[in-house]
Amino acid sequence: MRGDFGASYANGRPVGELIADRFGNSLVLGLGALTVLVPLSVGFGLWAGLRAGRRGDRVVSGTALGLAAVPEFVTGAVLMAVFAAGLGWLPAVSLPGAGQGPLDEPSVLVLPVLTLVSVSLAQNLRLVRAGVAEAARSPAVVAARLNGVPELRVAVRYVLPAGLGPAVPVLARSVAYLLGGALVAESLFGYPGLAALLVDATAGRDVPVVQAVALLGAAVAVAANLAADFAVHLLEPVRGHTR
Amino acid sequence: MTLVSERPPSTTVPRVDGPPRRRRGRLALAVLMLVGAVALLGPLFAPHAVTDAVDIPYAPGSAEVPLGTDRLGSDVLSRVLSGGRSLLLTSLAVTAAVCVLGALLGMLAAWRRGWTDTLILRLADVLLGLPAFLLLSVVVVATGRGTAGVALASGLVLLPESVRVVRAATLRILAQDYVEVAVARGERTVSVLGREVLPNLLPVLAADAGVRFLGAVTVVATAAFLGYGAQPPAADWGLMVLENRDGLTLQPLAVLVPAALLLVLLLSVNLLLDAAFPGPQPITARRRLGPAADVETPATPGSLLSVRGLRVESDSGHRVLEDVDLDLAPGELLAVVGESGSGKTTLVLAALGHVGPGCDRRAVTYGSTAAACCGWASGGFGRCAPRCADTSRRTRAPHWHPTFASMPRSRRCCGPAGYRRSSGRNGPSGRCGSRDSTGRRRSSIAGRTSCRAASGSGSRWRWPCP
Repeated sequence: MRGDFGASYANGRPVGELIADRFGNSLVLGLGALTVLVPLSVGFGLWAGLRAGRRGDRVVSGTALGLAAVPEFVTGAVLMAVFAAGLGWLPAVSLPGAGQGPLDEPSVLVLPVLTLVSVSLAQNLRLVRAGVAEAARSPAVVAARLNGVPELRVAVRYVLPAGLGPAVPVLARSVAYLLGGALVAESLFGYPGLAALLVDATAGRDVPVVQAVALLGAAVAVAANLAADFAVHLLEPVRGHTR
Repeated sequence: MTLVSERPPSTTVPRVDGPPRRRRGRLALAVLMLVGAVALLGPLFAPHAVTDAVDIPYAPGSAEVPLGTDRLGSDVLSRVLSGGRSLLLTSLAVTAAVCVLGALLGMLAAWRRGWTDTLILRLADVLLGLPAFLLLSVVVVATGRGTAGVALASGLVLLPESVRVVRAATLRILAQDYVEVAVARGERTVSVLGREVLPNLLPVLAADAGVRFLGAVTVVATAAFLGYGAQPPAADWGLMVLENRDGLTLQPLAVLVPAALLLVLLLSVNLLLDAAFPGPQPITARRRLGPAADVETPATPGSLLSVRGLRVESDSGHRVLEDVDLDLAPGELLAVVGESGSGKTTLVLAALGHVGPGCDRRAVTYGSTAAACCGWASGGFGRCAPRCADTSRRTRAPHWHPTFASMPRSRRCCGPAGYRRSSGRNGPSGRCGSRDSTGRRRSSIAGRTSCRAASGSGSRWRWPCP
């Protein structure tokens, strides 16, 4: 017990220092993925949920089902083949230049973020959609429509708060999925983040590094779940009283 | 209908009719068998050894090497043909182990309750709380790289959810009367679990096995991609994606072909599962039987409720009820008695107008007398409406067959004009949960509360009151 993470077996550097070097990069990637993921899943989920059973909904839900079934590295490889190798729009290797962070070269972030988002998006979208579809049939929403409230206002003020409740814990779990997906996205695109460090350390059986990164990841996952529990109570203040 | 289920409401699955679903299932099965054959028998047909360099690295396809070569100049076709076997076999082994362990632990937790339950559940929660691939990395560090470590790690990733699913299903089964009877007979734990619980658990286990197989393929392939599994000279679809991504511009087939095979494998299993376990289907009443119309007996004048040629089909086309006639006069009591699953509850619900959308109301006519008409579905006895309050006692005829139905408890009240639904959440479940003292369940419809003897004319569904 010394209060620090020890030194790496591979190169003798303190683990805390190794993590600090890469933590910022992973944070940028993770936050980037979340800022894409949340609006997209809520937006598409709301859109599809209000059209439950119609063609637009079937297209969105079917695509989501397909995306959810595919492992991240397959999605990532296909994205890489299309946008980096095929069209040449984006770099295939997401390594920012020496002394630069990923924010100096945002184009390196696009493909890793898309890869990360693909799988969690499908799960979140399906949950938001289910919640919205159920909320859209509730008497309150019908009453609001009959009162002549504009459709957009009905969607945002009445349907969305009721439909979002069940999706929030899954949104939090998607933070854990993102942590796992980051392993794949970072090592596929060679992004210098914590997850790539973990993969390298695992391959080299560098126990102190793996321990520290896994501890950090687990802490983030638990914190996200806790935050989600609070968020659910904020969204549904009556929960716990009715049952 | 108050339906308690662990799945999100059926709206999550786009409703598909029976035949297209079955056709899609058959197609998925065919594709799956094809991919399975490629993966398992492929090594026999590989034209080159997987480690032989047959051309320059990343050479394009030619007659000699149809899919080109990879980064070491080996034949991509041979490596693709050889790369699926270990993935598929590992995934199958992991699935089998997880299912057996999950069933045992889940049943044990549900049966023992108490601290065993708490211990198993908390351990599962700890494993579930960790992101899957973090857990994978930690286990692989402990065991070292290789197939055995990956198999162990993916088992640990998949086990907790399996345990939770089995435990929840077992708890539902343990609450059934036949389990109570078996326990009361003094049967041993093994025989209660093996003979009463396990057979009813099999559908859940089968669906769960499918889902776990999907998870196992994903985790094992991803582990191979991360370099945790088989090591480089070996051929593996996941590893091929990792190895050849640098040459994507020169030779995209070396990455895309194994990726596509994985994709097809996972999607076909998904579609097959969807076709095999369609989930709860809403029951809808279809049109009344046409030919029966001219031989049917006319509705008895003055009856409160009269049903002619009622037919209920599930969405997948199964006939739940067919050609049911019944009349209910004021003051008459009707009890529906039959085997479990024979459709008693559906009949009562349909007669009272509570079966799904599309119910053809012509099959059911209500009399003009403004009298109350109450129905119970599956043993929910209790307060229904003030004037029906005491019928539950009166319906205890001495000749009831004991039936064990396992429908969710629900209770409906209706009047002849414009039936009312008892409002969803806070309605029936709380106040109406009592079963009658003998533990029997039944479905009944009562015309007015007074219960005079009814003549046994015509309908075989009629049962005289005591």
